[in-house]
Amino acid sequence: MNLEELEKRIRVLEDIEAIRKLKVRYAVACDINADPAITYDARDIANLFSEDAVFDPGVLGDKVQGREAIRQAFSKAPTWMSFAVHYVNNPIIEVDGDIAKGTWYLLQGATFIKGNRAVWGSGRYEEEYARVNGEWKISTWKLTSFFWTPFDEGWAKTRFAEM
Amino acid sequence: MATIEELEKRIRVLEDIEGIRLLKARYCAYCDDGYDADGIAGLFTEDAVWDGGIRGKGEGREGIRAFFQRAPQRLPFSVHMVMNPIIDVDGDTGRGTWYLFQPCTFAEGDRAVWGSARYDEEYVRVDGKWMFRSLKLTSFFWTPFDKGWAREQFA
Repeated sequence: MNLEELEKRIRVLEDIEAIRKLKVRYAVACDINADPAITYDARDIANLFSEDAVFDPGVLGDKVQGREAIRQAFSKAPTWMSFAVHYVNNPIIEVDGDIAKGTWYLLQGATFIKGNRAVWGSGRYEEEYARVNGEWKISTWKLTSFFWTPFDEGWAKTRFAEM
Repeated sequence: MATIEELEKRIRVLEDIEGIRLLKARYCAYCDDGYDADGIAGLFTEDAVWDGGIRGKGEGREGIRAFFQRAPQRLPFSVHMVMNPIIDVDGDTGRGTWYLFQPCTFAEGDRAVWGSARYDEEYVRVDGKWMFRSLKLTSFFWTPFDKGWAREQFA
């Protein structure tokens, strides 16, 4: 065992931790609520993505590419969602040098402006990451939704609420 | 080339983040074990502050113990699930934010409630063990199970 090998192993653990933090920063940045410490700014969210990132929200919207297009997609969210709390779980993160892959689960409390409805959302993220100037960014983002169900109906009755 | 001392420091940061994650999980387990006030108080420093905002406040380890001794009267059932950690360590101190998702029962009216909040916390290493120096809760919602945050954000 030499120092170089040890350094590589430590770096992998540091990278996994940095990617976990990146994902939580994303989750917190996407939240919409009255907590003064949390402000919703589509630019802050877009800055977590790489310049040419691919963003595919599935049933929630159109697939787009590029940080500016992603910023525009997020700037529209408050027009149909008035409240959001993102909980991200179950990370599987694999690092390979300056790129990485990850999957996460999402549980989300949200209010859809249409009908002022409380909604439970859930989905699975499939993501790729890239180290850009020493900082991890999201390079591919895909959400496959499990449900977006009205709070009082449940996924068995209404799996996807009107947005 | 990194020196062995530099590598040891980097490993220590990773171990400390893991140590703080464990501290937080132990806190949740004590809370859900009928609010084990001695267990909870033992995770806080002598001069710590537990500031629950709209949920109340305990100052000092003894104040925190007294606060949690009364908690089961208000919350006879709770499940603390904590997520979204962002933990930063600096030597023997650390800071963290977490999200809480908490199914629970309010004794008043025997109501099932969904709770959610953000934690802002400070940690300190005391005799080699990570402890809470401060914990602050900012609530997102405490909503009746059958109503939801759009109709009734705080039960």
